[in-house]
Amino acid sequence: MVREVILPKMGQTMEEGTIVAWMKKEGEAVKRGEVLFTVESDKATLEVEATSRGYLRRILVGAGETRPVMTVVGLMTQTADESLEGYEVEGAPVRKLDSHDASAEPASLVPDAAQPETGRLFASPRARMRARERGVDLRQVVGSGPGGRIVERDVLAYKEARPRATPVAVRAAEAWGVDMRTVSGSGVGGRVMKADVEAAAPVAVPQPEVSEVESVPLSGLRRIIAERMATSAQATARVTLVTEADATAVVEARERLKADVAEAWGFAPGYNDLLGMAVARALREFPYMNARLSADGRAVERLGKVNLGMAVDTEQGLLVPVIRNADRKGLREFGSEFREMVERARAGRSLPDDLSGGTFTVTNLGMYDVDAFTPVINLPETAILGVGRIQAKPVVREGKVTVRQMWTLSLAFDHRLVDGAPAARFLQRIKQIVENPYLLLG
Amino acid sequence: MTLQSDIAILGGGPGGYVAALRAAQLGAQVVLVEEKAVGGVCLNVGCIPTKALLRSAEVYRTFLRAEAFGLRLEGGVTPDWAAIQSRKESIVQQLVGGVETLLAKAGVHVMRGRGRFMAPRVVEVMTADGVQRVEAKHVVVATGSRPVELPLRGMDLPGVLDSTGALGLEALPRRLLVIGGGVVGVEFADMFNAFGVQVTVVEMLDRLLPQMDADLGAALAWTLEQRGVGLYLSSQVTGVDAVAGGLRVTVATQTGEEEIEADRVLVAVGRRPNVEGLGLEDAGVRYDRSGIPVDAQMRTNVADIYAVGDVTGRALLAHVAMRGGEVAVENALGETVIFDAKTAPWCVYTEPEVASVGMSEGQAREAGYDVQVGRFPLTANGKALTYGESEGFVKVVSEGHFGEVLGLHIVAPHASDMIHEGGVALALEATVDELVTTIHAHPTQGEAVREAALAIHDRALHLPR
Repeated sequence: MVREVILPKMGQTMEEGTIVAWMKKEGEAVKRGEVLFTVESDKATLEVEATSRGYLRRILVGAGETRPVMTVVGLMTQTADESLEGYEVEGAPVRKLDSHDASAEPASLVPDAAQPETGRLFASPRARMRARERGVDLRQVVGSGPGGRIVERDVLAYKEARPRATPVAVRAAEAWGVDMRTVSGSGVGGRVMKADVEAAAPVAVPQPEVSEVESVPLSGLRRIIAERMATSAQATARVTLVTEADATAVVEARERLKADVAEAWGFAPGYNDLLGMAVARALREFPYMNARLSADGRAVERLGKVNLGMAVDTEQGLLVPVIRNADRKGLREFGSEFREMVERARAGRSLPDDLSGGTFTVTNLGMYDVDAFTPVINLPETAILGVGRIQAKPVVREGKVTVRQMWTLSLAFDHRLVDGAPAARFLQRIKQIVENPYLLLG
Repeated sequence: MTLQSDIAILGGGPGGYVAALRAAQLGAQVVLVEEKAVGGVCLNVGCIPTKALLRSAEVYRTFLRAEAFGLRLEGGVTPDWAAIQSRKESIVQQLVGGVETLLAKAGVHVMRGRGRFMAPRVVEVMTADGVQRVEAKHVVVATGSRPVELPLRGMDLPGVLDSTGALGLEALPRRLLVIGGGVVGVEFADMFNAFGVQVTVVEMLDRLLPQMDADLGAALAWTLEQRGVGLYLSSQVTGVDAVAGGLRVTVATQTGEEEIEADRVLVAVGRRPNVEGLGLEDAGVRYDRSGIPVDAQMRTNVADIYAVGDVTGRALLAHVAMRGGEVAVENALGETVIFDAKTAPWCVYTEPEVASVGMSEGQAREAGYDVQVGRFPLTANGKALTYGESEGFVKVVSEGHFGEVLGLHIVAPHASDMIHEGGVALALEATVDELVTTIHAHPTQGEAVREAALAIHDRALHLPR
């Protein structure tokens, strides 16, 4: 009979645990009461004993791995060689995985997978807790566990290695964006003093000689924007791809639409609307770009709807009204909905749904003569399209120089979720649609 | 016969003898040259004797207030000036003897006489037994300072004294006029006032203790006036004349000229460095009337010649000289040590004491900081009330950007002991948060420091809002 070895719930609040080490090897005999493995939770490290005699036949979750409580981490049998049929999948919850269980994690066939290259942080719950306690940034800690996993002792050791700095120096470093590990201290015992941080500051620090000209307290919106920008800049592996699309056809289309439908529609569709439609279409065709990191940071969720956010500059700051199901709307519906939301946004009367639920964002700085730029990804989205200006430029077509309306498009994407080539293919499709707007008809 | 040594030190005051002890600690052969007594001005005619007299004054004042503590004094208490002086003397002797012992045990060769440079590393000492030549690898000049003499009419009259003369008075004068409202002047004023002398202080600038935070001088002025000390601020003495019965001092005050009669006049207007007669020119050492300039390692312009203490013309404080002496010899003996006086406190041993470390509020504003100030009065402090001395306050000066502690200023009994909390805060570049998160014992006066820090952000608990 096959018995599942489970990661036990060792306390009321324990939700996950990290296997520190297996005390038995695959195939080894186990006596009742012998320690099978040790597991670390955020509160303690415990030994898990075998509840009966048998043989440890499979280790499904290796040392250094973290799993939710009650996960099957190993298989034991009473005899040394009986069949394990039906039990071969790793990491599954207690239920036997004999049916398609959509909520299960994607199965991994390698029990002790090394740290994947997407750069997600692997740290034991105890290490995370210590890091939180001590204000240690886990990304700075070198993990000594298997596969580079960070365990508790790594966090403790890191704390001691940090350079000593005076309280004022610490605050100054935060304020002036100085990495204290790069500052050599002139104080007693190598302690870092404010003057050392000042010398290392990237920008000439104007205090205290220069008095403030004006001090504007961070408004609610500004503070929110500040926090979100910082989080995005720090969390994402941002790569920006820049391309130039021939917008001559778009320019022409816009001219003709202005002449033909502006009166009937009540607005003249502009470049943003046309580009928005193109992007929405491309997102439908490239679902991995219409995705986001799940709330717990463990999965990529591909979203069913294309809800396109179009960034708008208002007096209060940057707002992003969202056009739901943008790929299923015609130009008129898209355009009028967008304009209504912009009006509400500018008046400060946005509806809650106006500004939430987006799956992709477009941000346009072309009216300020900007070409390419590197916008900050609107977390938790996968990417953002930065739109530059449309400019008449000489280009080569069929061996001859001709003047075309060229449009710079910058796609900033999160390399944790999407790789370069797939992102580039998406951008290329946008360019294709822009250059051939009739593709929107299909 | 030439004496060889690693380090020769000119002057056995706080700068010199501490330098000698430190050098000996580091294994050097040291020669210390002292003309008079080791311990210099500080031990013999400065810090120590004045504090001894001030303590007698304080105890006397306490006796006079005995009833406030529920004590009845039958027959009263009388100051015996001769006994007070002799107590002072014995304390001085004890300390001088102590320093001599320390030097002897450390193996420092002490030469009694006056030393002068013959060449950068050659010193000749005029001892009682003749001229002794000393060759040293390094020389530290620690010859100290002496009271400034005013170029005024009547300065050489008998009865016009400097601090040394005032300390040696054989009897209490009836009336004393003190020229100079700085640290030395106010201490003598307060001490003599305690013993019933009619005291007047004349200060040229607009406040007492002009070099310290303005609030401190103001508090002291109020206290002295309450005690009947006459104060003339923004006033200058123009001359002294002998008259029947004593001296007459002419003072140019804000409201016109005044003539004040006194039995003794104490001139306490500052000190000047002892740079003459040392042969500094023969050593090539640059100096002028304001002292011997040195760098942050106490080095003069000549290699291997250092200068520390009052002779450098900077911060005339014994503890600064002591630390300078340590730094000088450490540098001479191969280390690289930078001298930083930012944590040196200024202490005034009046009653209550006044102490200050770091920047005054005025200095911080001038430096362009976003200045924040927290104040706490001693009347709200339990310990001070039990002590029966609740006059005074604590003031913390910080800046708004990081909360850095810039200065601590205290008027309180034992202020000179309390002030070191500020010194440590400055040394560690602490912020106001560190003062607040440090638990201060209750009941102590030290708590007032924490409350003053809390007051910066309007969070003092023991102050009504």
